[in-house]
Amino acid sequence: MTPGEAPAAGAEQPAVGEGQPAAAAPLAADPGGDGSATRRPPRVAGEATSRARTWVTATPYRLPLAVAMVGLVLSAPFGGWRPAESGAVPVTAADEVVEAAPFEITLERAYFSPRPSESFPALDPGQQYVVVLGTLTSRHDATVDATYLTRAVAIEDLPEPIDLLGNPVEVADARPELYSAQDSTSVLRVGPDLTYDIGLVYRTAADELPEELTLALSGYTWRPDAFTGEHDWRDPAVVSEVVVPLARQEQP
Amino acid sequence: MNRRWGRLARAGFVVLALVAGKELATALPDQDVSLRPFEVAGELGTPVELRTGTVEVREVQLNQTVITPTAGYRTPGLWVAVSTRLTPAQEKETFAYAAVRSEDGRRVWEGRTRSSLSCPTPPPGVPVTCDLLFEVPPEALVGADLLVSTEADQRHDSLAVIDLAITAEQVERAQAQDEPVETREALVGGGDD
Repeated sequence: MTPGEAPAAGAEQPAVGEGQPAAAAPLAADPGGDGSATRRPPRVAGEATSRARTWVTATPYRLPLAVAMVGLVLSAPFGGWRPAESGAVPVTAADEVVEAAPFEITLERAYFSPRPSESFPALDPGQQYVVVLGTLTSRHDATVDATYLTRAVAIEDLPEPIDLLGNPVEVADARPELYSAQDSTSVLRVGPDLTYDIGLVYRTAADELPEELTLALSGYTWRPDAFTGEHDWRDPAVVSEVVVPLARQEQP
Repeated sequence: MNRRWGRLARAGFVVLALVAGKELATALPDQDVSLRPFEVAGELGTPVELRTGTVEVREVQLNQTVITPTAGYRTPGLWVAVSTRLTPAQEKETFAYAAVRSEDGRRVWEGRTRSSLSCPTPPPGVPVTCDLLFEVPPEALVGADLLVSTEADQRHDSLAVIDLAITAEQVERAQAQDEPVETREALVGGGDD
């Protein structure tokens, strides 16, 4: 073993206090008089640090590289090496709360009818209403326009949707009207912390309807506009899909 | 070697300046604070002077159901029907913004529909009295204030903040009440009754 070299694995180290020279004792001149010098075992940590410092400072580009590598390693206990979330949209069961900021929404069931009640305008023959029932709560600190909700709900499998004028629209463009189920009036604005029983009202020209409907709910992000600095709910992104059963309206 | 270290130092300085600039920008008050309205405090039954006229809250009613001249409404909270008189100081002034704010100032409720603010536009000096409607959770009503302005944009303008003097007893009575409240048609003119 030469000075500066780490001791071989398994080599016996003299214990301090047993009359043997300490592991950190300096290299001394021949004390035994037999021509062999007492060597101090190398400082392992000091040697590694010195080498690392030399490597890192060898060029200016190695320092930021070293910092990035250390950061990568240190991020592991904080979840930095977790697998990325898959792109699949989670599916929430009917009647369960979906948090789609700024709203909390539950969708329970849906029914179809040519005219659910007198408060609904009469439709042309062959057309009918599809009403999705649920609850809605806004957790924003001020009243929000109901269009934030109607734009955040996308129905995926309603056949032959039509608009308010009876014209066919693409299913991706079908937007519901929002009604209060308590009094069958239109809800145009939603106040904070009030849980409404709601009906999302669609119109369709289809005779045959599926037994269930799939709706995608999106949540927004509260952030300022890059140019004006004004805060608003922006960047809708799908947070969950909900499948609700669809049946003919029960007659009283 | 020195040139390379110099380049790295310059890049590091730019990054540092960007970080410091961002921290400074987020730490300073934003525009919402600097553009905030001038709040004019008032009480139930007392006229409040705004830049564009005088506002007075004359009566407050609470109920779960309200009947308006056009429709009946139920709410998951409580309806707050506020009889409010505006005497405009200039032409074309009417209620453009009204809301109920919780006592801690953290929540604001406007009307469910935009028509809840519909009120005639009288000539200057002629008062108009309208019932303004809001739906508010019962737990947020005690100590709530009415915010009212004749401007849709209240930045840098006066905003009346009127204490509605709602008590816990009033809220309890309203929650137990079955008889709905009926709002009145807008009244233009009228005396001090």
